[in-house]
Amino acid sequence: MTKPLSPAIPEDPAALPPGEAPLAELEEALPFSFARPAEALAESISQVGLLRPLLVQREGSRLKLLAGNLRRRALQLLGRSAAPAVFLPPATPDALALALADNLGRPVNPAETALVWRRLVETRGQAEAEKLAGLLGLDQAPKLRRQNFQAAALPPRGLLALAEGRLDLAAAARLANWPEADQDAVLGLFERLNPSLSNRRIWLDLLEDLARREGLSPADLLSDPDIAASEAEAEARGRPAAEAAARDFLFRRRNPLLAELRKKRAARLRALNLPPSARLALDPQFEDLSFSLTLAFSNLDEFRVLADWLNGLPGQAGFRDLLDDSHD
Amino acid sequence: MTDGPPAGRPGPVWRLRLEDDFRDTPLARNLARDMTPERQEPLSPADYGRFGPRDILVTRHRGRFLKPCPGTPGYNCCGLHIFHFGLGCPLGCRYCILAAYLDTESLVLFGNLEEGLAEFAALLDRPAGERPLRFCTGEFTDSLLLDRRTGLAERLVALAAAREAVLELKTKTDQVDHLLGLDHRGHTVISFSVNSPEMARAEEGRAAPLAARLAAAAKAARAGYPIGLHFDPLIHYPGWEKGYAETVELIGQTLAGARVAWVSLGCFRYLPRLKEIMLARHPGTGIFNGEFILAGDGKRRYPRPLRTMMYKSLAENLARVLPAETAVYLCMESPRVWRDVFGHDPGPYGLTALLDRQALISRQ
Repeated sequence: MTKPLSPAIPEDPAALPPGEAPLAELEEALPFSFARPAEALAESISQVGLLRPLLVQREGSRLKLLAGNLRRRALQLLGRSAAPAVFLPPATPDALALALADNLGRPVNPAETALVWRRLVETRGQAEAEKLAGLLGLDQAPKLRRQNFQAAALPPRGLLALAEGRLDLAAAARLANWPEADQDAVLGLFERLNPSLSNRRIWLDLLEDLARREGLSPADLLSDPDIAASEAEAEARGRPAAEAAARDFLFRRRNPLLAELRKKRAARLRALNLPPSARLALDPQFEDLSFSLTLAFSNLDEFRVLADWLNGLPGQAGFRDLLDDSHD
Repeated sequence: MTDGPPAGRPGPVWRLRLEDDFRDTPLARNLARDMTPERQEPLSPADYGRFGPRDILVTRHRGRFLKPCPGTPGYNCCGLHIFHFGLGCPLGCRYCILAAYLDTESLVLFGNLEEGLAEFAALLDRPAGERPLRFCTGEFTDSLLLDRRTGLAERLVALAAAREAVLELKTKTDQVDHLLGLDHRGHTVISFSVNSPEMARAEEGRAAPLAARLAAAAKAARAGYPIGLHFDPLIHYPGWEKGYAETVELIGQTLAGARVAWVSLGCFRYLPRLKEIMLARHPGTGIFNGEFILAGDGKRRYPRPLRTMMYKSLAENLARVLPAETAVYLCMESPRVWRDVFGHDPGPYGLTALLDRQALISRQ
């Protein structure tokens, strides 16, 4: 966003108070400092003063803030209207590279990276931006650059989730392509149920697949009362259980055959009455015939009990059905 | 410079980009008969992504031209060997696995094809027991899409006809007329990838209509070629059973009396990144609506019981319309699925032997 320069600001930087920049008139050249609270810095400035001046460049009638976004906000919190600044001459080559290098001297959150990358592409063009990609750690992976560009289009709520590590970049990039009502619905769900990062991706997969198949929107799907019911039913066991139950509801809707296979297998396993010290592992993808049975024991007597149980296992119909589900 | 549709539907207007090294090759001369070449600086595979579906790149292949089908550990492979003459396909099938492997939508043809043909001839000169018997060209591109212009198949057919070898040309086009008069001696199988009528219409881009493919198969059969049919990928969608039964019925009607050497069945499977690529290119595709598991080879496949059900249905229908001697086999399937569908698992060597026997029946 560009703003005309206030008439109060002299065209010639030399006419400003020496080395002072008017804070309200500065335009951020790069959107660093997203989701970074300025209060602590303001407190520090009030105690020891501003240790590093802002980095500013005049561009036509505008004043670009190349470095010092957070310092500017902290100073404004303190009620200051101007601050010491280094003014780069208008034609300084590589001014953006300088700005990037200055800002990258501290940890940058993923939302900042996304926002800065998108700004670079939009203002400088793809080719020019790619020359600077290395400074953001994006020079080796075109996919990562695409995802950052897309993720930057998220609304503030989504960007905050990305900044705080509650949304990974790939999921953020996907979500950014969704209509706003759907983004809101999913972000609301994520805030309420706090799924793990990998489960967030599963949620997005399920919602996208179902929306495409059923011609519904993710928001429509999430407003299904059965999801709320699954969630409520499991709530007493805690938030992870509620999240798993709601996700399982969607999984069953998306994959009725796999859900049925899982149900049958679970019932057969239950019917086997496995001793607590025996674990039977089955291929979760139902793809092949690889089973493994683990027995835990600490003495000969315990082993004898397990061996007796083991001898009886081939005779159990449920066990045979587990091994051969071809009639299912 | 311009070309007609590659198959049954409106297709691209080609742009032929030719590296200088290959201007004076049989391939370039054939292509230049009705396309005007544009000069192209030498390319490496990393450059292919810069070109689009209208581009034909004639460039150098580095490496061997003959390679075994890569197969998949844990799944039975038919042991076919591939003559690698090019990469990519502009037909635009929504399920095309090439989209996940290749970083380009252009069609790449290898300008140093003469080296490849020499490699092939040298291999075929070895005693039959010391080298593979069956070869195909349609693994990384369509065998016949541009063959009227490249003239490659004619040379390969002649090579196979003169030796103890069987060549399989795999296509989704109906472009066989130029092959009908060749002296193939039954050493070339012309194979058609087929699908249900709905899937062929909705998901196979610019491929020839199903009826046109089968009509071409009938023509090739009348010219004495053994025919291959590949139901691959079988797609699970509402009405799949009826749809594939219709195709089988059509095969029975169109290819009655033809020698069908083999029919392969393979359910849709894909590398996960294909979904993202295809949904971006074709948001309306329904092929990813089914249920999928993640198999040990990193590909998504329908759950095993579903695949088994689909194969059984197809195999039963095919048995009604094709002679008993036709080999119906599963492409890249697990021993478990083989057992559930056919009651036995031939293993990779058994499958190779079965198809080798089939290949030899038609030779003259």
